[in-house]
Amino acid sequence: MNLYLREMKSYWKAMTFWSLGIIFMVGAGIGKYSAFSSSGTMNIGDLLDSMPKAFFAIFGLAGIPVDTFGGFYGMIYAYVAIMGAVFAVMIGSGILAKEERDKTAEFLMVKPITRLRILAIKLMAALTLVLIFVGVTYSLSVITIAQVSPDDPINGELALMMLALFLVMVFYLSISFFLAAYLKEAKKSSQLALLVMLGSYLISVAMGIVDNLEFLRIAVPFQYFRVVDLLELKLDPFYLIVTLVVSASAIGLSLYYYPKRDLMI
Amino acid sequence: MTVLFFELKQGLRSTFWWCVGLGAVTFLFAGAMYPVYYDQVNVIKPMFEAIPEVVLRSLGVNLDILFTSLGFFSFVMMYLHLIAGMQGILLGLGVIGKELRLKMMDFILTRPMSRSQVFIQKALAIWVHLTITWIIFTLIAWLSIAGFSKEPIDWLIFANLSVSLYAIQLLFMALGALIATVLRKLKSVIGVGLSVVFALFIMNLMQSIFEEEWLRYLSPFQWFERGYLFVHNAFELPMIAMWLMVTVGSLITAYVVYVKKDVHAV
Repeated sequence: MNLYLREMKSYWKAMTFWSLGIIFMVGAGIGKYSAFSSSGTMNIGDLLDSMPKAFFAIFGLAGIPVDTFGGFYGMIYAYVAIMGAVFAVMIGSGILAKEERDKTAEFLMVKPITRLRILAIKLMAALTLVLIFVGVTYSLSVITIAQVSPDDPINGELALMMLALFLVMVFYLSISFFLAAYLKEAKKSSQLALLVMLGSYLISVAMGIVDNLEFLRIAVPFQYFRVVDLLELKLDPFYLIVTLVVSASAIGLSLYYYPKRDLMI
Repeated sequence: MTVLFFELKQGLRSTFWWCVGLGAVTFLFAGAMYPVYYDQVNVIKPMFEAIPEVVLRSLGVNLDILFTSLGFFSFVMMYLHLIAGMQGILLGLGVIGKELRLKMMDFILTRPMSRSQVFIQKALAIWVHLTITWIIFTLIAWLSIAGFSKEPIDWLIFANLSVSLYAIQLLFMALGALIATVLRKLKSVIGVGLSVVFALFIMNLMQSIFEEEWLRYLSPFQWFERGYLFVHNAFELPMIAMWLMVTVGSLITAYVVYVKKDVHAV
């Protein structure tokens, strides 16, 4: 419990900054809706329907129907999801590796708790932080949406998007957590986590431009739960299973490797 | 020169991988993806050509951007900027902040050289790494566009686009140096770098929602916005001023702090 509280304490400052960022993105973003919908610039939705996929990417819309409030929120959600992934990678690769990086591993290891327990507690702390991130986004969205009061309420869609956000974040968290648990060098594991994040984002972008890259979808968590599907209240079951299996095995492997690997001190 | 050579050697491997990564993405995005894009987009080209030019201009649609390889490249540039910014900030944070972070400051300061020498040589080393990466990027971009393009290319626009990548690299390197020296303790280089770059990048993407002119001044990726570049064949002057101010300002601040900073020997 001490360890858990300590982790929460060491991240509260970062958490505050990130929450401010979410407030800016979600609050100011949704606040713009009235200007957005009345300006009429987005009533070209019908015209855009007939355009090829690459076009949406160029306009930054990614095939989302932006003439409804749900579509508009979906756009903001897509941006929040990217930031969520960055946050998850940061936490996942930091929370375990920082002991070795800051040369505090010895101090932690002499405490009367097993490594497995340390790992489990740190994982709990990381998951809590992810939950706070999703919670802040969710509550802020609900509050601002109530202010804007769009014609079409999106309660169900919102809940589903938050679930998708949580899943994407857990995916990145467990992958980067595993890298930190498995690799000896903290530096290398965080570099790899960065590569995974940047690489999957760029593939996701490429998939938005070019049609025939569907086969890469499995490598890109951003594409697992697409806004278009979420808006129709659909959560792709196959990719739900993929997320759960990959996350569970990454965590399982961390639990297997970390207790017996050499520490770099 | 010891510090300079040391940092040059230390960063060699990572610069090699940045060149490979940035080069590969440039080739795939600017080159290999273009034919697919071209086929997709050409289907609707007649639709656009039927609309009178005046109407298009009032809607802010520029046919050159939509239907040329250079226009596509300028779109792809956004993501190359992201990579370049990441490299810049990681080098700035990593190289300038290395001794502070690893608590080895006393080792470097006991050498017979002034702190200002240390800082300048480190900054020079980063500059060399960034320049090498940029040259290789420009070569690959040039070859990819020349190879896949289906129409004659305005190389002046290409040069402007290419320079914008260099500007982003330098800007983020200066920001990295500033953060590394000003923060009392910087622990995770990648954590900070990733958050800062992606936050600014998302801010850039969200500009399409916000549409606030003043926000563009705070969003570095907006400073080299392609729409203006295409129409006027030049950068926006106020944005260049912002770039100069932030880059030079950050570097000078980082330098002053680095030279005067209290260092705790451990």
